[in-house]
Amino acid sequence: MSLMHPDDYDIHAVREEWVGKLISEARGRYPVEFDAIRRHCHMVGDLNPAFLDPQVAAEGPYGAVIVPPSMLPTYFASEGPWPPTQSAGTDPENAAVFSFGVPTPGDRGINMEVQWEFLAPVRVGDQLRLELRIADVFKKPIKLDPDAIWIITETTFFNQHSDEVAKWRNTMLIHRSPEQVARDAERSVQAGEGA
Amino acid sequence: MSDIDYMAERYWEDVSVGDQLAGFEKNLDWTQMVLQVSGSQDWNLVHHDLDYARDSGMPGIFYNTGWTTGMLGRLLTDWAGRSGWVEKLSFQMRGMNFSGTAVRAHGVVTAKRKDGEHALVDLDIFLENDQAGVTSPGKATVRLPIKDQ
Repeated sequence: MSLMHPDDYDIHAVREEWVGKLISEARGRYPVEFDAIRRHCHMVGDLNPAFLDPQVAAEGPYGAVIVPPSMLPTYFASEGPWPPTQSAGTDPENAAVFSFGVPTPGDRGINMEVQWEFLAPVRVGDQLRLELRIADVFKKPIKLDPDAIWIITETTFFNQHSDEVAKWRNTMLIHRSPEQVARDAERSVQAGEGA
Repeated sequence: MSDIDYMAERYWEDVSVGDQLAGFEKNLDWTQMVLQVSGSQDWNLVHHDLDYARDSGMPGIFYNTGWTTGMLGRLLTDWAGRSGWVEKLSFQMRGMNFSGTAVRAHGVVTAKRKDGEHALVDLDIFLENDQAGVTSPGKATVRLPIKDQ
């Protein structure tokens, strides 16, 4: 990823190119698995047998273990956490994963707002895919970085029957580190002195 | 062990506006940090590498979106009963939950309504920690069963 100096950054050109763009049509490498659900439940101390116990879940309203609605289906629906790929968002060497490829002055990402709509249960064994689009890109300063970029994405998840199972709207903030901000400011000063 | 009866149903008729969700707490120690990365598979360095987090301008490691979603999701499914279905879940990251803090998930019923055949309950939900107060305020809609249907 090549970072852009804020003076060279044209938000209008970026919006023109990226807003509405289909970024990913990733298909899950693996079907939905028990153990990933267990790790998710373990993370938050969730003991609900609907997510953990195949025998109990078989007699429940969904007839099988389902994914907790809060479990990011991204884990299943992206190309898997390994080997790292840009669309899986697992490569720390490739900071563009936070910006979905949208050029930004910074390479540090923070998630700001999440909206989920859960449309149908996802069961163990289901095979998911997703379609991710850039819904909006805009510049809005934060305390850390006056040239922070905000990226809104909309993702729809489908099962193997092409039924929509979830929709996800996400707002990501991309900012520069304090060191990057200082370095960019130094270049701006030098450019001003040379003018 | 949990004192939640996961086999029990929560019926729409038995819910009232103003009802508080029982909620739960977590101390964000190093073990929880590791579980966060394992459970979310989010390997962004700001969520487990203290030096990188500080280089990014943060005072420390902060917990990720997958964990936040999971905490609020558990809050809802713990409450919703056997047949309850979380239809919508949204939240803002207004503050961060850093390692070393204690976090509580809680919520309150704000409305009851019917949408066609669906009996719905709207809730305000929160994550708050002992140092920053409310860090993740959110809203949710849960579909509940109706008695004798």
